[in-house]
Amino acid sequence: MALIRLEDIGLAFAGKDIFKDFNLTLQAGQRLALLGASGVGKSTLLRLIAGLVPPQSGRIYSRVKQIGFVFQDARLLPWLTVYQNLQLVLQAKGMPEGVRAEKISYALAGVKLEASQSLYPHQLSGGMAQRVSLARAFIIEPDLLLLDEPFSALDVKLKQDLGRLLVDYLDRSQAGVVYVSHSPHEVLPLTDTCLVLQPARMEKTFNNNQTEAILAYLKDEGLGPGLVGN
Amino acid sequence: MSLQLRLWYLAGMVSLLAGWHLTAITMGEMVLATPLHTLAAFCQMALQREFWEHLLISAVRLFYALSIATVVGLLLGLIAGRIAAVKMFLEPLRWLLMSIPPVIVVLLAMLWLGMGTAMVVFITTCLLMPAVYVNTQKGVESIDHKWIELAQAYRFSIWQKVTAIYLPAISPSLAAALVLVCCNGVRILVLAEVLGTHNGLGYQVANARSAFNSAELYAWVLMSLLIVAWLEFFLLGPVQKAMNRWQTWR
Ligand SMILES: Nc1ncnc2c1ncn2[C@@H]1O[C@H](COP(=O)(O)OP(=O)(O)OP(=O)(O)O)[C@@H](O)[C@H]1O
Ligand SMILES: [Mg+2]
Repeated sequence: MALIRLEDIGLAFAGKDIFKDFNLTLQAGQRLALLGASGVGKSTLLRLIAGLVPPQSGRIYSRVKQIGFVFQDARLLPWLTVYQNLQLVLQAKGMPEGVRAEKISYALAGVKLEASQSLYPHQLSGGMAQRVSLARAFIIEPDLLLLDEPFSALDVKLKQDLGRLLVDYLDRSQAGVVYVSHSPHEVLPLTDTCLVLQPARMEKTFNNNQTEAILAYLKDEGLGPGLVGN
Repeated sequence: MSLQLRLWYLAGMVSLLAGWHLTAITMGEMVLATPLHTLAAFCQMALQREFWEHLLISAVRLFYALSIATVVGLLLGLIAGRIAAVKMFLEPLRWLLMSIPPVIVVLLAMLWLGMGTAMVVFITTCLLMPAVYVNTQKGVESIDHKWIELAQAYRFSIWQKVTAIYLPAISPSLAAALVLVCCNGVRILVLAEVLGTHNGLGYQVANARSAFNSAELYAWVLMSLLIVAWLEFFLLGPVQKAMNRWQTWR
């Protein structure tokens, strides 16, 4: 059963088409890797899916009840502590007060930040902040998890650490996933489908992610490991 | 603040008092009482029950005006900051209220509402509200869009958006607005009371003036200054401290 379906989506910024008659279906529990050159519209597609921008034409059918969104920046509210940042999304979900504290300490333990719950975001390192951001997305038990280059600002070692946390979570979760990344090696092992966005409606979909085939395609298209492209 | 800067402040204060004293001696006490005589009159007045009664009346009026202006200005500013149509709709009224000379509002309000508390509160509220409104609206308008996105993605309620995003984000401009509102509030209140009431601080100013009681007149002026100082110290101090705590991240 489709979790979300985008039908004939059109969206232009300043007269420049980003999407034109674009179609995408995501099944419940499906995990989609989203690759493509910078500026091709990956973040915009996540925004469309999350309902943050309405399409200018076409329709979006959605059964999504709860979205977890991990932005490229950690995007924690600077005037709230780590604990309060997590509490806020639980409140928004209507979670009763009694169970919140337990959920939060469980989620923080999951990202190894039990000791940091009363710190403010400016007291966290980049990696810690992004871990809180992951915890915030996990804690509400989303049925659709949107990841927009969640680790791109971090160094290799942190990337691996956080990648492991994400793997752990995905192992236990049934959530559908759309994962934007600049690194096929980071994202392909965690996903089952891959969509390579290209300008001018040339996007290409791969089922059962075969890393070799996808890498070969990316190479042919001039989209190197960093997906710099044309 | 360094000791040196404090000394400059003190020097300014002393100069002001000295200037006052010299002017009073030159012009004669009928026109301007000396600081000492003003202080004496002030102490004498403060011993009378009547003084406190008039003060209380003014304080209540000020409280109503500040509360209504802050709450309504804040609410309208929050809405107008998010909805451009509301902003444009309110724009002519905002312009009118910020441009019209206060004394004209007093004269008109006296025609409509007669003399007394309702008129004073009405005028003070009308003239204070735009400052709160404009600062709130501009603050909300300039909130980074990424926070709006966060709130949408995680489906924050309106209450959550207001308390967890809008208010903390606009707290700097809001603090500025509150300073303005408190200081201007007393000034407008006294103006309205001088012209159109039978009680309160402003009425006593007018009274002392028509009785040629110079010391008492300046004692009341001193009182109005003390109210502003009191507001700045006890109300704005803690508010700004709280807001600064929010802003430690900057
Ligand atoms: N709000 C907006 N207003 C105008 N143009 C926009 C807006 N958002 C995105 N764009 C444009 O749409 C295009 C796609 O942007 P998007 O952020 O989706 O790219 P991306 O694929 O995520 O790139 P990157 O890999 O660099 O993050 C860009 O050309 C960008 O300039
Ligand atoms: Mg992007």
